[in-house]
Amino acid sequence: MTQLAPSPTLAVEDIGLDREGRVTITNLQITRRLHAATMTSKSKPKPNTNCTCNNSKDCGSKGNVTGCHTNSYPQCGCIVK
Amino acid sequence: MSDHIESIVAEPKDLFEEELVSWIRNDSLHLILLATERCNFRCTYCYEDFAIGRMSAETIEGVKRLIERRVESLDSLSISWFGGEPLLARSVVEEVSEHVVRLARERPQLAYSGDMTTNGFLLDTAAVERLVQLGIQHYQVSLDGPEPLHNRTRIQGNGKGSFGQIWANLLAIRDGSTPANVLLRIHLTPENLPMMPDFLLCIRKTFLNDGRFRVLLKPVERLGGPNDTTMEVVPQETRPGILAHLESILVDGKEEGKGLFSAPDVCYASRPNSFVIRADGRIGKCTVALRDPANTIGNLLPDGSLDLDNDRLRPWLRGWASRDWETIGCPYATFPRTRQEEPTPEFS
Repeated sequence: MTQLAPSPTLAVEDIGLDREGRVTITNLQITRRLHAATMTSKSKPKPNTNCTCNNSKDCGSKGNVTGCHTNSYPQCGCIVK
Repeated sequence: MSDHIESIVAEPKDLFEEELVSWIRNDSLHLILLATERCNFRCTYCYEDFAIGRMSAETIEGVKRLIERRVESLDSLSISWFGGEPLLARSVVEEVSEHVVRLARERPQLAYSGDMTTNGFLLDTAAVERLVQLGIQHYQVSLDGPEPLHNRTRIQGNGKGSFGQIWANLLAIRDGSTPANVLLRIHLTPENLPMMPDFLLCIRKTFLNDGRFRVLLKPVERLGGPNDTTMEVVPQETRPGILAHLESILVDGKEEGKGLFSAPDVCYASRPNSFVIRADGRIGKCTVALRDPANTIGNLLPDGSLDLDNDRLRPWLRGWASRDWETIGCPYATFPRTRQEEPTPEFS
């Protein structure tokens, strides 16, 4: 395998995938902290799956309200005027 | 192991760390599925060899089982259809998507989204309506400029041009009410640049008053196709000025960025929780390096499990270790080249 330069911040060798494609971190302490982080950290806005118009960054196209459907995800609403 | 990574995952401090946390989360999964690697086009700059046909029944089953294995713990499932031309294997797309929609219907916590990179030739009204029902709401369609120029480079397999049919399909989406979002990827070459101001004006007037349409301007690159040695590309040093000028035509003083799309800073190939499933069941990271053995990190098995070699995965993730945005943006551009000479590995 190609040798990667050691990094003072993150060792890439610590990251892998398991047989179901889940990201694995080999250090148990970090795994616990990651689990805690995913439980508490603010998620990015959900992808906008049922609305063509919305006003949230990263939630799909911005634009006019014509034909805009009700949106079922927090932070991914239609533009309301 | 340094203490630093622990602080990263517990409390992201900057954009880099926020991105890292996003892409190592196991409640999020991105699959890029190659329904077929055949194509009905022979674009002059294409890098694919079309050697692998439609996704086998065994691989389709593997994809469905993999999603079943993961779905209970997912908040977000994103499926990107790629090829070849995915609409040549529309039944594959529909079979997998129907399965996902069924699973998602039973799990209101799951945000499922689908997108497709297609040449647009077969993206007629019936196809769009059906695929949107199946959650595939985002489409990327490429145009190479006005009809005469487009037809010189985006050529059907039978040698005929393709512009008329694609344009008709795009107009039908615009004139319909289906909530399909279309990213018009407009390729720039030295040859088509003189025509671009008028063409983009036409694009703006025709599509950009409809919020479902956006534009990405993309210079054509040499990506390993048979014409790489002879084809001209827009010189790197001139690109910023050219792009700024052309983008100004598209936005025409409107809200900044409206109608334009910026490519993400983090390539899917750098994201640990994203991978490519090829039509023959091989697992990869990149959709450009399809002929490079370094891009095969494992195989999908019919029961939905993955036979993976993490030593082959890790070079794709190395940008996270070096905190190098350029590598994270395209890990293949500076990939350790010695790997290219290695034979494709055999997985059990």
